[in-house]
Amino acid sequence: MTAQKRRLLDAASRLCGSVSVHQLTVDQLCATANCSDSNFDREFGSLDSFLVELQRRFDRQIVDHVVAVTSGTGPGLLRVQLATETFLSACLDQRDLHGWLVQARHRPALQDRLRNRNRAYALIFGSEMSALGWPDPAAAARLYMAMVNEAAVVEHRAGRAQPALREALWRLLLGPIGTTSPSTATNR
Amino acid sequence: MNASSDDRQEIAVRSALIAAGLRVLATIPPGKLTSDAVVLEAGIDSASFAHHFDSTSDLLCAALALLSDRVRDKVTRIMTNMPPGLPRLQVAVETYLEASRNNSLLRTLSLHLRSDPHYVEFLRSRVAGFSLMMELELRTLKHPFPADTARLLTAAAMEVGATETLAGQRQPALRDAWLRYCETVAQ
Repeated sequence: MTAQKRRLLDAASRLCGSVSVHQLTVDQLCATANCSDSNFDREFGSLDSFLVELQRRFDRQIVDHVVAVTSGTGPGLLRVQLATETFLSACLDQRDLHGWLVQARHRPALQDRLRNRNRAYALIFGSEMSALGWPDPAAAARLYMAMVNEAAVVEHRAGRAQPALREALWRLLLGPIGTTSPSTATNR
Repeated sequence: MNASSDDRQEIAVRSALIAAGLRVLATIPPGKLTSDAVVLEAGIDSASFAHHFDSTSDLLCAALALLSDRVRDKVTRIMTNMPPGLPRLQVAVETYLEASRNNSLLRTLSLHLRSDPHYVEFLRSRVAGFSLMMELELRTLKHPFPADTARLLTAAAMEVGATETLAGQRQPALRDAWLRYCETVAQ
């Protein structure tokens, strides 16, 4: 990644607390990053491409964090919970930036990016769902991702973690295990 | 009395324009719809179109809302004849998915408008209604987290619907997975 590209992406973090993504302009980004319009055009070409790259970097940072937190944990409920908690907390830690990306979600370019991302996450979570006993792990993982994304949006709007919502998520996740209490379930 | 009559007249004109829009949409893709074609089909002057709709996108959203209301009404009719509980919830979602899938115009409009801010807002309100319906069912099951669980299950159901809309066909594995998530709420 070039230094200018990084500066422009970093500018998003400084602007997201004060500017709505709907009002965001290339000029604002360039002024904040101390770059010219031509630099922006060369690096991204359009605001949509910029937002896609921003989403990609946001996702990559969270995935790196999730991998670091869950390394050494075996597949199963505990690892899914740990990964989910880490994802949700990271979204809250970067609440303004996450809010931007949520607001921009209806743009076709972002929709495509998120669809691909969710498909990739579902593949990763598929092995976890398999360990939990779900008969069609890929499908279960895909819907689980939809629910986690919804939880992230709810927590974003609330501005803090929603313990009841997370508890509801664990209960749904436990499906095939059955009546085991989510808080006392062992790592399977 | 006069105001009420005027209101009825306004509603009738708006409905006529939406109905005309739907008839035109049966013959051309949404991207080619024009206000001229709609007013010609409706036999109403063009000033009325501008009075009722900001743009053709606005009319398309209204048309989509109407089609969506029909699906919702169908779901409601079926639910009315069933006792509260999990099977009713499952039938409601299956009916919603099937009705959405079988209506090609509903699918076409959903795909065409998926980036439109009006549609995003419309979808948000419908999702909230759907979630509330689900929450009421979960309350009858004495679920400990009815509102939160309803919200999550609604998001999962919307994912199934969106995937089927994009694919243009049923996604049995996703439907089964959704039903299994639903079954966990009864455990």
